Amino acid sequence: MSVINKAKEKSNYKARIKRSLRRFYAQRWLQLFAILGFVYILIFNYLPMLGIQIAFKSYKPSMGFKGMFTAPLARNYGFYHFISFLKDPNFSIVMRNTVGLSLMKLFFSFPVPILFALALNEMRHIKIKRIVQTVSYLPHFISWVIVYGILFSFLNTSNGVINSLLQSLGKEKMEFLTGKEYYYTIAVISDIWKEMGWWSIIFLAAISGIDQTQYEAAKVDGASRFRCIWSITLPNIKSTIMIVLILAIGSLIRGGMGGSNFDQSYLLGNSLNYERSVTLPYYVYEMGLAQQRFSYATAIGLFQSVISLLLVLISNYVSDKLTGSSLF
Amino acid sequence: MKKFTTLLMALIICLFAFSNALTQTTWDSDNLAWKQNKDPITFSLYHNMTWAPMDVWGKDHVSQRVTEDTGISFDVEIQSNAQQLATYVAGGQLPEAVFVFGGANKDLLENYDICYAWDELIDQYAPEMWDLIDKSDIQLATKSDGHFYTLYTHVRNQEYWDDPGQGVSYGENVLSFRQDVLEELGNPEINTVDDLYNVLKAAKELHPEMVIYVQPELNGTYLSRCFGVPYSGTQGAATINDNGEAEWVFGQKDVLSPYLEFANKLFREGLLSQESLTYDQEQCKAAVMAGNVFCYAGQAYDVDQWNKALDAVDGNKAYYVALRKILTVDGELLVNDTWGSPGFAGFYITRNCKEPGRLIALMEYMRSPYADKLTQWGVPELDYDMVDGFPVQNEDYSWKERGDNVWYFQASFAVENMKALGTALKDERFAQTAHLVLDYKPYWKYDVNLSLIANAEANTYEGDVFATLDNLRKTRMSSIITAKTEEECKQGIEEFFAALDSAELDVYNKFLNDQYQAIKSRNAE
Repeated sequence: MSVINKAKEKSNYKARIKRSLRRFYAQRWLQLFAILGFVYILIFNYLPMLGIQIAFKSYKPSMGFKGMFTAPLARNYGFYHFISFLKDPNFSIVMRNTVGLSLMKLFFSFPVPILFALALNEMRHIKIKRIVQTVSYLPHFISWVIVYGILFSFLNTSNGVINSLLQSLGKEKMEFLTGKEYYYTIAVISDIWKEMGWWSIIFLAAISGIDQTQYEAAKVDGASRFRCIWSITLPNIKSTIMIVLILAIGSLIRGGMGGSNFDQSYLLGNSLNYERSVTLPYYVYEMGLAQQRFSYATAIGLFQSVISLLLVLISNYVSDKLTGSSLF
Repeated sequence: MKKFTTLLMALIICLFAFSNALTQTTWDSDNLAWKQNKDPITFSLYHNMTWAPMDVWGKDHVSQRVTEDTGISFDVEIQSNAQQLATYVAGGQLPEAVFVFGGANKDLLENYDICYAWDELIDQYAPEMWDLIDKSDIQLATKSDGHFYTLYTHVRNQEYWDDPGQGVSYGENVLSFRQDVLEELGNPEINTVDDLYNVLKAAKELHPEMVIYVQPELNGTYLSRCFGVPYSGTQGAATINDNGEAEWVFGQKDVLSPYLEFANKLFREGLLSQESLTYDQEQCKAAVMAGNVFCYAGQAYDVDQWNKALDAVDGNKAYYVALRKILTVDGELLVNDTWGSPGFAGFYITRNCKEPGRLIALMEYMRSPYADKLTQWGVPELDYDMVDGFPVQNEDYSWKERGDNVWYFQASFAVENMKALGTALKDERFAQTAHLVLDYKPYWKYDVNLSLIANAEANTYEGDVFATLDNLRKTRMSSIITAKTEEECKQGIEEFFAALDSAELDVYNKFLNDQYQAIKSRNAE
């Protein structure tokens, strides 16, 4: 009996493989895209992870590619670079700015695209709606270098628009670009301006997928527009909101949805507002790569990645428990 | 018989000396390596002179002439980011030749596995070159492994410091004032830092709308020099303290504190522009060109160049005069600048080079007085003419067309400065540089031992300590200067030095001083 079963199982297995292969062949062109994507991820995202090991070694660029494997272990059982970072006089400043600024961006930048998408969805004039939508997501395609140029034109003390206006009103000029007290505000507002329109596209797409009969039924029952938003739109896009939130939390250290911490630190930061402008991604560059300290840079980068991974896992778990929506 | 033998011996020695003199290699000798092979050849070249107006070889007068003379041309790549060179080294993708400035870049390349040692290449391909190289240049470039991997450009050796006719660099940091405003103030004498404070204050009262004092991040060290903060462009940013020990320039609390407090006083009284502390040279120039700045710190050369630029603006009234001295503090001249740098840039022949012999021959060509002038002034009679012994460049051609000061792989300091003086001499109104470089030379000292200290290598313990110290300097000092109150400023200074201590300043100072003392005793022997 068991021999017959085994033979049956074997032939079933063979048939299954054959079926799969046949299906694969039928979809060969589509599968090719998936394979290319897989190869891309393998080469550019997974293979470079081999380099993580230099975070635990005393690597020098002159050691070349081989040195990644042959470089001696760093002091303190390989944890020298991590300990150096923790002992760095700027550690507390870097962490405060990174966490503080990222949370502020999450708190202020995350709801804005949702509200904007809801507002756009309620707009009845299609032409205006399209113009507003296009204008709002265009800043996403402008590089941070250009954004800095725009900010400089508006905010500098020599001939900036805002300061010229203040001066003409008899007020004192304000050091927006060098005063550390203004950095967080400028960083958050510019981040919202740049990314709001882009992220609202995702929410608009989710909204457009909602079954319109729900709205019609609600209207028949006498529901107001606000009630429709609250009771139909938001619940229907809840899972999208949660997924975007999880992704945003995952990239919290990099600056949330816009991932702008490095660019802003690099361009808007200077020696006068450094105390507020330096963030972890920029510090990796400044104290690691720019100083040719590849091991140190890798150690801080790894530290950043571990925190990001933990944040994704935690937010995914919490989201799953609270709303039933999760990434995995 | 004895007399005859002595005479014969003397004759032989004379003949030997005479024949030696006859065969002595000169820059015009026919046996020079670069003259032996002029077959066309192209090498790949990476350089980090990002300010250069061109990135292609063969489109300007200088590179065309070099190729005509030697047969050599280059495929050029200019640095696009700071870590590019290290990435090339790590990936084994270095081009055949690298021309770079900056201590970290030079340290990275001065490695037997990465670049050819010039001493070995000279032995093999251009032995006659030994007769032509200044021994002090070799000393300044020789590493602890006994090799030298380049000879640096713009070397200033003892001979230069002893020559009173040679001025300091036209990049000397000076202070310049708007002449018309000074006249309005009655041309007050400015001899001390207190005089400076009074003049700035008076200017603010007279012209409250003006930006009174601009002190950029780069080339803005004039004021700190008055307080005795030493020159930091030395090897390892080291200076010599009163006990004859080498230490980090910014670790001297007694010297740095009075400067920071004075600068903070200027800031608190609205005399020092906060934004200017972050300016680079272009931003500083833009502020001055806006016509609203009373006083600015900058390079000697800038004064003439910016005056000239202002002169070309319609309706301009601004003309700046530079102070021709260092100010005293409480009647004392505290300036404490020691030159301790082996040179500006180096030309490296990497192990990826297929014909290193041709490149070392090119270096022999580049070191000749002819090529030195060619690469720094341009082609004679086309790009410049000699006037009173100085080169005056022809303004019909742009820098991009001339190509001078880009391909200056073995440039000398004296030839560079002669061009600055020649430029200044064209018009007396724009000739302050010519005086300033001579006026400021007496304030400088030279210490060859300081020039021979090795920088702390990246990825070593001392290198990590230095990176932290330097970051603290860059990020904390401006905050101290812009403190809102005197107490806050003093507290900032205390915190700064406490942070330096916790970042192990003592380790770095020991690293510098151990080297310095060893080099000093070796040279004394």
